[in-house]
Amino acid sequence: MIREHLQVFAKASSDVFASLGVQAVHQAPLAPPDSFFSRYDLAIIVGLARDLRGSVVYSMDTETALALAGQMMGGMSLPGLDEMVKSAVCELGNMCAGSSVCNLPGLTADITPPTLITGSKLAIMAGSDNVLMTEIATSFGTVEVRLGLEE
Amino acid sequence: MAKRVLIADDALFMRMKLKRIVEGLGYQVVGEAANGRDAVEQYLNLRPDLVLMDITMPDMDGIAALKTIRTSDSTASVVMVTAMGQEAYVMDAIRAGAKDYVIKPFEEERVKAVLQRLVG
Repeated sequence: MIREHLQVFAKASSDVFASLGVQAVHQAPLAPPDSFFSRYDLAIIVGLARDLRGSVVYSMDTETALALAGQMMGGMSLPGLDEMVKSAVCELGNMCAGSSVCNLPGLTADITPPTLITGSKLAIMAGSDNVLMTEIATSFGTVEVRLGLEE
Repeated sequence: MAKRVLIADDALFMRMKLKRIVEGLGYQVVGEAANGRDAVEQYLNLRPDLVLMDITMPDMDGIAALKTIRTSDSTASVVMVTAMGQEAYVMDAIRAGAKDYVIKPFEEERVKAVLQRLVG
């Protein structure tokens, strides 16, 4: 079922981007991650509870995050990750995950407050074995979506 | 005289966004709180006409803050603001006396409609 769930997350997240005026297309295949290490330097982690337990991780370049946050702030150009920008990026993860769990057919899931991590060579453990990832191509850069679920 | 609004949300970005919308509609933002406990304290000090209250906040969550405020002021107008995926909590909040709710991401028109309905 994780494959179907990740499809929902990718579609709902793309819709959230679109609602913010960001072109977003989910066209990457769904596949297990080939490494714990992300190729990106920023990740937003949102926990999942109730019928769907695990986490969803949205990863992207800092430049992509700055552009998305700037769009959320009305098209501003943002120079760096200050507290306001971090808050906006977390809110983006919150909206994407929240919208996703609302679209899971027949399931009720809660989301936890988002956590933002940054740095090179980010090791992302979204789950143990049951992990699948995909990518959303946006007009501001690629966003990786990694879904990890408990069995 | 402009109606007075208190904004309670742990996300700095959301407080900024709501403040911009609320002030743009001609209301006065009299306070901002980053957790439920601070929201209660500010409510009791400021007695705003309406509170925009996030549900998921540290220290004291929005529903606990709502209940505490309503214990002191049963006429308090509190509107819950929360992300999709937390609708179960919204129902708890409505049962606890919240007057309405706004789901994020929200349109300015939705916030406007709620404010106008509750405080004019």
